[in-house]
Parts: sequence; C-alpha cells; structure tokens
Amino acid sequence: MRPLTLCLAALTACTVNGLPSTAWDADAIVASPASLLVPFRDGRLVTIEPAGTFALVDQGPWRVEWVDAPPSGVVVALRRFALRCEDHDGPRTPTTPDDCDGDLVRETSVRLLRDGAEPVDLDVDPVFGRLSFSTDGRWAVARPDPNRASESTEGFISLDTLWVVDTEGGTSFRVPVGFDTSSVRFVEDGDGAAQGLVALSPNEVGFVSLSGTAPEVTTTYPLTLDNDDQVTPLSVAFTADRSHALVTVAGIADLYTLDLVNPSINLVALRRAPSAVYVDVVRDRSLILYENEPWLDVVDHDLFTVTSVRLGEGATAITTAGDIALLTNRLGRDAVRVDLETLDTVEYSLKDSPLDVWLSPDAAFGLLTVGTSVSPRVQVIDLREIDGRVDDDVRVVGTRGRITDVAWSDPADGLTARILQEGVDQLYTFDPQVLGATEIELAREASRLGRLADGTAWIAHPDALGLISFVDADGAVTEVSDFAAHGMLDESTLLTDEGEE
Amino acid sequence: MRTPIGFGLVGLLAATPAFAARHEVSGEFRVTFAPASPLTRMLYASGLAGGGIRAGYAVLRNERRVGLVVRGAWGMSRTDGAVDVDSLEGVDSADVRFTTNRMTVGAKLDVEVRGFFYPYVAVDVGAAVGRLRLASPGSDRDPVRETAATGLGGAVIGTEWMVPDRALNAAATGAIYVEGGYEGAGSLRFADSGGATPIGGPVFRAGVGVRF
Repeated sequence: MRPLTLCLAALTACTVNGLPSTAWDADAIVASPASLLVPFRDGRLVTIEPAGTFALVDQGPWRVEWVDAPPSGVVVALRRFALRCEDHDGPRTPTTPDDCDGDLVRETSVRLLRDGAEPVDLDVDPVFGRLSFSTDGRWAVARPDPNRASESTEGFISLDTLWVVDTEGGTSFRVPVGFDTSSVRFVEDGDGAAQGLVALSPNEVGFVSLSGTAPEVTTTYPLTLDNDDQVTPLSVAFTADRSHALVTVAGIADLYTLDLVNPSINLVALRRAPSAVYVDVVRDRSLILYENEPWLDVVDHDLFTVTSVRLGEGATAITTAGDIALLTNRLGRDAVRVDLETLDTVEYSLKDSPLDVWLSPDAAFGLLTVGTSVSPRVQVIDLREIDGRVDDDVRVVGTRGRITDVAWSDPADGLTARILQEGVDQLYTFDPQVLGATEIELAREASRLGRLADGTAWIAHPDALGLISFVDADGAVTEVSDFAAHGMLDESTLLTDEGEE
Repeated sequence: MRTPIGFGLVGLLAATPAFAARHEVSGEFRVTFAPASPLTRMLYASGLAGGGIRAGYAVLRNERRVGLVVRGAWGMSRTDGAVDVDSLEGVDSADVRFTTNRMTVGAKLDVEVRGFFYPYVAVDVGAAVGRLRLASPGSDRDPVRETAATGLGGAVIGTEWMVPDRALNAAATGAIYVEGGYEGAGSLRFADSGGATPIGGPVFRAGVGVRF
C-alpha cells in the first residue's frame, strides 16, 4: 500500500522521513590488485572477489567516505569517519539517528591498505579532501577544501597547507606552501617515482621536494607581479636537472620558465595559447599543441629552443603509448602519429571527428570512437612501423552502440581489446588485426569496464542492488549480485555526520 | 483464576440464565503504528496497514448481558516502494516489498447495551512473520527474499454495533466494530539485509462481519 493511501485510510498524519541512500557508484569502485572495493554512500564497504564472493567489511564504528588509490591499486586509502556521542551516558558510539542528546563529535582518519602489510591508520583533519597518488603509489597528497573548513577540529585551519602522505613509511606531513592551492601535481621520473610535487594557484606556483626526510617547500614563485592579473597555470614540467620549471598558462601565448636555482622567470613566446601540453619526461622536452595553428611545437628543456613540426590542422589532444603520440582534434578529421624519438609524423584521414582515443599499450593500434549514438562506429588505425613504413589507412567498423569503455589485453598474450557498448548487454573481444570480434553475453548492459592485475576484466552494471561481472581470459563470466542489499537495513548506516538521516 | 477478580469474573459469566451468544466472522482493516526503522523510512511508511479476517466462538452470555468470545485472527500488511539509489548512471531504484503476516488467538469480553451496542476489551497473543523482497528493475534474476519471525501480544478496547435481532428476525445478523490499543511485538531481524524492523506499536482495527 502506498504511503498516501495508507495515510488517508488510517486518517493519520504522515511524516516524510529522509531517505537513506544505499547508493553504490561504479565510479567509486577501486580495483586493488586482486579484488574490488565498493564504497557506499552510507559508509558501508564491500569487497568483491573475482571468484564470485563478496563480503561486508566490518569497520566497527567507522564508515567510509571515499576510497582513493593509484591506478595500479598497490595501495588503497580509505577515508573514514566515526561519530562519537558525548552526552550524559558518556562518550559512546550512537546507534540510531536519535540516540544522542549531547554533542556529536566527528573523527576522521585515513586507513592505508597495502597487500601483505598491516593496515596503517592516520589521523587527518576533515578539511583535507581526496588524495592524489603518484604513479608508483609511494606518495599521496590532499589539498584543503574550503567548503569543509567548518568540519575542521581546529578553530582556525590554514588553507595554504597540503597534507602529504608517505604510504610506504606510513607517515603523514602537513606542509605549508604559503598560498591557497588550486591543484597539485607530482613531478615524476620515467618510472613514475615522485621526486616532488608542484602546487599551483592562480598567480603562484610552489615546489615541494620529496627527496628529504620530510616534504618541504623549496621554492615558491609569483606568476605575476600584479595581483589583479588572473594567471591560471595549466601544466608544469621540470627539466631533467630540476633546475627549471616550465609552466603553461591558460589563455596566454607564453611558456613560463622558472629558474629554480637562481630565482627568475623567463617567458618563451608561443604561437598562441596552447590547447594541450605533453611533458616527455624520457626525452626531457615538452610537446605543445594549438587548436587553430597547424603546428606541433617541441620545447627543449635544456636551452628552451622550440622545434616546430608542421601538421595538417590544429590539434587539441595528445594520447601517448610507448614512444608514440597520437594527436587529434575533437572537431577535426586528422589524426597524426608522432614518433616521440624522431618527431616523424604520419597523418591519418579520419572519416569522423574522434570523441575518445584508446591506444594499445604497445602502441600498435588505436581505436577512435565517433561522438554520435545515431550511427555508432569505431575507426581503427594501425600505428605499427613495418619495414620502415606505417600504414596510414583508416578502417571503420560499425558497432551496435556507442563505445563507452575499452580495456586492452596484455600484448604478450595476444593483443585484443575488450569493448563495452552503450545499451548493449554484451562484451566484445575485438581483434584489431582482423577487425573481428567475439561476443560474451552479459546479464545486462554495462556502465564501466576495468581490469584486475591478472587480466580479469570486471564490468559494473547499472543495477540498484549491485551487479558486477568478472570475465576471465577464457571468456568465462562470473557474476556477483545483490551486494548492495547486504546490511542495507542496519540502523547505523542511516547516521550521517549531522547525526540525522 | 485464583484471584478475587478472577472469581468475580467467573461468577459474572456463570450467572444464569444465559442469553443467546453470538459467534462471529468478520473482515477487518488494520494498521499498526510501528516505530520508525530503516525499512519504513525507505518505504516512507508511517504505519503498517493491511487487512485480515477474524473469527470468534461465543462461549457464553449471562443474564447481566456480559459475553465471552474466544477469537482468532489473521492479518496481513504489505507495503511496496522503490528505494532511490542514485547510483551509476542517474537515479536508479530497487523495488522493495515488505509483507507481514500476523496470527493471533485471544479472548474478548463484552457487554450488551440496549441490544445493539457492545463495548468490549480483548487480549490477543500470537506470532508474526515478515517477508522482505528486494528486486532490481530491469533484471531477470531472482529477487532477494528474506523471512524473519517474532512473537506478539496486545490488548485493545473497542465497541461493536450489531443490528438488533428483532430488526432482522433471522438467525444471523450483521455488525461493525472499531477497536484500538497496543500490540507489542519483537523486531524482525533479516539475516542479510540486517537491522531491526519493529512491527509492534499502537494498533487500530475496524471491521464488518456477521454474527450468528
């Protein structure tokens, strides 16, 4: 019986209570090397194994706010909170939304999980937001979120501080940078190991060294002397000897080169404001694209000389794999293969403007999707150089639905691409060499595709009670369902940080 | 009954001569205002409403027009809803159905007033079985089904209006009744979904039936 009917029938007043959320979000799923972690909005956490099992993680009074991890999943950070009621019954964990007459205190921590190691718990001020990881997972950093300042346990919280975590050492540091940061980026070597991090803000940039015993700010720079000028940094690169930082700025046709040894700023004139910048760490140079200029400018990080490569049209995106970069324009019809070593180019004439670009990890093939669901198709380009020649043909393959996600197999096992299509309840294993695909039936349409360390594909389906499919290398499908129903009626899941549902 | 009140009650009922006692069969609407729980919050349900049937065997009615009826009842409530889960792509929802079945036996003590008006008190004990069904729209897999049970007991006061015998001059007559009171019950604990769903609380029932 519907509530309104019930209310009328019983001639009683109905009160509408807040609705508890049992949400699980495919975008919130984190893949650790061998399993999936699914955080729920109500704070539950479920682990799902490819074998087809799931388990609700017993967290005691803690509930998960979010889960962060580097792409490799070697370390996982659970951001958690717990509520403690301080009333006449003493400090305790409230069990229901109405179970606290006194102050409701919120405690926040981050739990670091690493395979084979004991979990490490770190206290964190609630003002700090999500963690960004270095590629190798060793370091993580969080910026303060001004919108969460009221949650801070301190009366005054400095918003120009970063929270830096050494995940291997299990320690954290508060690093004051001296200005309110708008973004933070790691400076990494070719192996993805972080050497430092760069804090960016409108008008200011700072460098935090990670090579000492504790992170420390070594340099800060104003990007303008007039605070009325709004200068928004887009990207930062460092020369191999870390003596200079190269900063591109939104809407400005200059490359800022900051001398970190003898503090000074030089400007390298560019053709226009860049549309995309790629830092080639291996060759110590930056590739710069312009939307309306048919040039690729390559800035050498040593002498800051610019080498220009003529293109057929302007480009807006750089996608890289191995020693190959593919330049595309979301409104154009060209795709350009660039050999990052020699800067030789091969131009592909596309049939349609590309929406998404997926390059195989061995840079052998590229899949470029079309941004329409009316006549969905994918353009396949062969990036391999065979006998000194690159085939510049573009092959078009029709699809049932718009391609939403692609996961490449390990090239050592034979290169294929697992492909999801919008509104299609099948997973396709596509062979780019023969342009053919085999189908794997799924329980229903899918929304996200990922890959575990052993190559097993995982697929999240839009299902309220939870549905994830695992597909192994042989194409066998294992479904895990209804995990969102597990524990959904527990009273404690209704508690929010305000103590009300 | 060994108490003075018990002796008094037996004496009251056993007084002769007895008047004609009426057995009863009724259909009823019932609602229990159980405390809020995660499940009822999900369903926006402020009460568990449903229907049921009731049957009573009239043991006696004495010269003071006091009657005793032994009665049994079965009632079912069902609440359907959709739990919004703004997950994955846009708002999604799960279909939720919560069903309770209550079986009780008890006794009703009433008094006849002017041949048509019967105020009464009654006590009942029994058991309740709750079933939870969660289904994902668009999926063809079996819904999640869980069952839990608990005991219950309660007391009500009520009043019944019966069409007087002389108006019908028949072996059977009709009656309507309303009653209200409190029905205490344990909470339903579903093994997987968790939580405790209380189903007891203030209760209101109204019915119509035949008396014969």
